[in-house]
Amino acid sequence: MRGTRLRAALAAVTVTAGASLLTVASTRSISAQAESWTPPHRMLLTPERALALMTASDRHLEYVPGEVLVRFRPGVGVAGQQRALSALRSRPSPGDLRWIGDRALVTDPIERDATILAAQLNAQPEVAEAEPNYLYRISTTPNDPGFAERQWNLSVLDMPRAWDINPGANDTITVAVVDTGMTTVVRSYSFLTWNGRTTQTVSVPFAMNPDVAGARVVLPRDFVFWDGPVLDMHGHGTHVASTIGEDTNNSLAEAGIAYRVKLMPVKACVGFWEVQFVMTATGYRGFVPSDSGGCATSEIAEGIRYASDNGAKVINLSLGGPEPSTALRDALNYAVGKGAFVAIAMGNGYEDGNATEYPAAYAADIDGAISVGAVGRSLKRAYYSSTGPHLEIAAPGGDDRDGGSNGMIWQATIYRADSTPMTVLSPRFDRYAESGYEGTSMASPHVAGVAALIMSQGVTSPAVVEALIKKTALPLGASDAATPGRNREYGYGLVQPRAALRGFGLAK
Amino acid sequence: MNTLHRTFIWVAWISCAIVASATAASAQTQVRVTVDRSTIWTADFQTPAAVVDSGTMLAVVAERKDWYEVIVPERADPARAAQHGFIFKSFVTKSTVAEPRAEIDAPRFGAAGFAHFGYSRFAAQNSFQAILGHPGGGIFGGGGEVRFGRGFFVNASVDRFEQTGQRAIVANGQVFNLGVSDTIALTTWAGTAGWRFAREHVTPYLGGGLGLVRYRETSNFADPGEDVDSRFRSYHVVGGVEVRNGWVATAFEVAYSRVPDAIGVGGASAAFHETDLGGIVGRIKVLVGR
Repeated sequence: MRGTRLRAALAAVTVTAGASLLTVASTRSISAQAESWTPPHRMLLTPERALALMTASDRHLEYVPGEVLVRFRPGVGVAGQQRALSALRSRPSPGDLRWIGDRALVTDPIERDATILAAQLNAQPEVAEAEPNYLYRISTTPNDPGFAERQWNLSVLDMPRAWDINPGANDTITVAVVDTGMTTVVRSYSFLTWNGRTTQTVSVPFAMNPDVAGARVVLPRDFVFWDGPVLDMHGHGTHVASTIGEDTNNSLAEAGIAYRVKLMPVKACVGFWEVQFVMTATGYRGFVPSDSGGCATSEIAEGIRYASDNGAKVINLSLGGPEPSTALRDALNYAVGKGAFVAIAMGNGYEDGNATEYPAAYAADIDGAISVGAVGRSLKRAYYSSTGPHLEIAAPGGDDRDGGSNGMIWQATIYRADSTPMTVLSPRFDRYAESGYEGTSMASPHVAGVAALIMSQGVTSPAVVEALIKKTALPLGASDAATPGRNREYGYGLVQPRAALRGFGLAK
Repeated sequence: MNTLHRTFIWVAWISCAIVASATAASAQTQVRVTVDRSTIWTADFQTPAAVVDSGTMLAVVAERKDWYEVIVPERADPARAAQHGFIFKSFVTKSTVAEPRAEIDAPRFGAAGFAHFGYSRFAAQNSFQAILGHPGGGIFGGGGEVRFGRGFFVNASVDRFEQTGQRAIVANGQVFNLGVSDTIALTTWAGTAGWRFAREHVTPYLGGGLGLVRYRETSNFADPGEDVDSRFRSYHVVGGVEVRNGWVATAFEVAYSRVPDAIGVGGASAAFHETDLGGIVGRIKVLVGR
């Protein structure tokens, strides 16, 4: 029945999809599918959304095509909302809106250019603001070479002595990882996928990270793929969560910084496999682009609000993009107002124009949110780590130009070789291995972990956590003239867990 | 209640008792001897209890017709000191203004040792509040005092303050303690010179001086070099009242000290822009000596 509805729904989008894809890759086409697939849970990653993500990837769009976030003026009722939405060609109904806080996600199946949709809505008197549903991306370079000298990152932060003061925080602290997820089940699911010649059903096994005790995983939530268990089909979210709180002193794999906290996986991002599975189920014959996916503002904002509403004291956002979003900024303010500290990756675009990335750029103006840049093992800025006046703190993020593979950040995550897009035809996500990643995505969870340690010592104010981290940082590089004690490459310097946990005495 | 507090309370009670008895004594009428070599007779009027010179102040216990019953002064005859005797009224005049008998009786040179307890409220009260949970705390110490002439004195003392609190983070005036213990110890060596306005039993005094303060701050999980051990010069003024009863005296004094630029570079004191390690101290001193 569900499968029938899915296919029926697809009929409406096939035209649009076809039109879009023709201009993208003429070798791809959607045809009648050879097999059918019934999802075991209500799908959140709809065929329309999967197609939109694929289109965004093909066209290098920074937003989800056809989606816009709108905030109506206070006091505007359903009738007013209907008037405003009538400005769009598809005339969506207020009843179809998906609400995220005070914003509504509007999906327009006709006009795919979200900037046009936003402009049309912004012209309406009932609308306070509208913006495209921007896409943010997780940016890492995974690598699986040898394992020698792996966790230099924890050594340079002097974690063993920091743990003397506070051994891994405690289970009163919950850290939310808004990312690609962290698998919470041990079982297999059947998906349809493309094997290069035809569509086939594959049984895809999933397993939980063996180096994170199941009892430490709380309130997992998927906002983007389906209304079922959280599954990580990328590895990024699991890697990030491992840095924050991988089990430690258990003679297995690696160590995490706050290894006693509760971890809340909040899936707001999808990658290649999620898009591939959904697109194949729609009858799409071919591989979707390997970089398909991303994290839409709508799900990030929803994930942030969910985490802070459900007790997360620390939220990690290892994602970013060049487009500003007031919806995202408001979500950050909401989380901090709820008492959650937010660590945000600065961005990996230094060699690609060093554009300002969001939501990191918002952190500088929010006491309780901090933007995190990356350093390599020699404590020099990682080659990719974006710079700017909004950078607040630096942490190990890995740098393969500074020590090769040993200069990366090694944590347990799903075994990358089991799911390499377009190389592996039938992926599996049930095997874990220590994997080397690099990026500000890897730096941010170091700071999130330290924040969790600090909060477990009784500091309840996110703003104070931020102040403590900044005040105890090890300055790196010369200060900028305009900002004493701070510079554009390292912010206030390298996070110092031990110093932060010791705090200050009366004189020193 | 710890030992220090119990001791403090005992000393306070003893001090109050001394003050009460001394105050009662000082309420007696006094007369001044106007005739040299006047005789104070014992109760049988047969035996001289003492012979006193003009100017001697005598405490009157009672009157009997032409006689005052007085207390034999210690200087006149130490063996009969504090005994009662009788002096002819014509040889004395009533003293309408309280004459400082001590000024007359006071020794030209005296020395005393003392111990003291008290409470110090620091000028850097926000910083101490942040780390210790209160802006000051108890002190104890002791020293010695030498008196010259009619009122000049010098003393040397040492004070000790030590309390343990928690390290903290101060941001926007908010203090969050981190559960890492932090011990602050202040040892002050002080030299004071001043003047005593001698009275029979209650002697006010004022003084001032210099000192050396050793500031030590130690905490758990500290590396060598992370603890603080520094010395600073201090300045102080002091005022108090000493109540004497024989060889034992109790003094209540208040001292104000400054230890400028001792703190304020880092830690909680920097957050509160507090640089002075001095403050106001209230002390109870117990002195033994003359």
